[in-house]
Amino acid sequence: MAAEDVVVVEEEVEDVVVEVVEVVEDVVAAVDDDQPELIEVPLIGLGYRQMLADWISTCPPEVHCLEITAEHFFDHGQVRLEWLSQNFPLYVHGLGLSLGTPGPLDAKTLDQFARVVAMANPEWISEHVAFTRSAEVDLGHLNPIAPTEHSLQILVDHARELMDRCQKPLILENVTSFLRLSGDLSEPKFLNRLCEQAGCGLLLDVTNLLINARNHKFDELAWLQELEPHHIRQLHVVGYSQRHGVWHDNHGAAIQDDLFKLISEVARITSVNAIIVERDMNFPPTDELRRELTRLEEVCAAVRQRSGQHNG
Amino acid sequence: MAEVASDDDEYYGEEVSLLSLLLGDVELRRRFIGNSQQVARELTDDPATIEFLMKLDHLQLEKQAESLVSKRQHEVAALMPVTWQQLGGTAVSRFRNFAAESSWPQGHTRHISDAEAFSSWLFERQVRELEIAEWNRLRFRLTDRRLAIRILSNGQILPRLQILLRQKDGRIRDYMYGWE
Repeated sequence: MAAEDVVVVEEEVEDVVVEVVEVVEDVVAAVDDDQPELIEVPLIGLGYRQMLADWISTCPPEVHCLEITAEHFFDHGQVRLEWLSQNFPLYVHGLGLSLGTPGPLDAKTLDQFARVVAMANPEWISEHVAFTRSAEVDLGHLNPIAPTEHSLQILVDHARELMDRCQKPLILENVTSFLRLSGDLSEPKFLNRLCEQAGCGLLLDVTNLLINARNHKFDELAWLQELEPHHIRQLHVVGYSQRHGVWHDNHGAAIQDDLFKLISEVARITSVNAIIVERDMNFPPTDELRRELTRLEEVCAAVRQRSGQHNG
Repeated sequence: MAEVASDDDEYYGEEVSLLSLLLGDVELRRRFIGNSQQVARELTDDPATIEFLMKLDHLQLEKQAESLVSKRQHEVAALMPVTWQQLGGTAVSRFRNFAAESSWPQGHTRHISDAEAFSSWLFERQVRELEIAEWNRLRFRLTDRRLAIRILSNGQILPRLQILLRQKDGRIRDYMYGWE
């Protein structure tokens, strides 16, 4: 090693030490203020899609983690999955288990899901508070569940079965729907009960929340206040579209300012572990994606900073 | 341990079944919106389920059903972009006619199966805008084969050769060879 290399390494070590000292000071300050919960900046990542594969292969520093869709790996892609699991913290997201359908989970889909989970060894797994099929009809996409005691019990049983089978923590996602079904509970209270009784967490899709709030004319912040914030473990976000006064989640737009604001609100009330950008189409140049991911990190860091100042 | 289903679970199961039917069947939905009371009684004799059906907002039900078909259409269009573009202004209406006649395939490859079935539907109707190479690719994706070789005649004197190769990471390479 040359002398100049040694100097560079020493400078890098010094930087790391300074960072460590700052973090320790934060912790000490929090403990001194009887505020043991340190709000952390979450990992920021992407939903893994084939269109992004080449870019992700370069391990861009803005991508801290990845969420893979289990169904994309049911038949093929074992080699790629192995590489991804070696290079990123992974989360496995399911689309087709239809946890809200009464009766047993589809055995074949459950087997395939569990096999992908075993290969990916994710930190956690996720599915939706929804049904995609009944015994007679497969609707192919997510549909809402009436927030009743009966549907709650079915979801709780299925969530437990999924966790038992995969031996991984489970988080469940709120969906967007044009159809609102009435029931015994409000949606946030239903989600609170679901998380408590099943022992799972919540994957809060902030885009779905905002779209539902706009289409069904309710206040998203009041909705958030009803939710037990400690259940929220991960966020999903992607830009929405709007046509003729109706909001849609087409997963093909840049994240709008009101979504960043809503994420900031969530970050203010709880510390989530990860935020995943769920872009499925109209992929922008990677520079734009980098900026979007960086902005998400900055929004969360700003909340943490403000919270630190407030506590201090 | 499997839990014993209660009567309430059965009623809830019936709610999900009937809601699925209403969302998936255009004709049934139209009849229901036209005369909810009568159709609800035809579908079930359980008062709680009838009450559930009577509370459904017709406009929301229609929008939800439309969003399901739109998502299905979007996935198919993305899987067969050349054919979709060649169909031009008739693409959506042709797909809607196909969707009304066919149920949605099941399983995790449903979008590919759907696009393949739509291609077959176009082929049966001799729609010239169908891109055969794209249809071949869809059929290949539904198999486990590593390699497929197809000859594309398309009415030309010298046919083209399409070679489809599945890589170890699951990605598919599509090579086309022609003679000038």
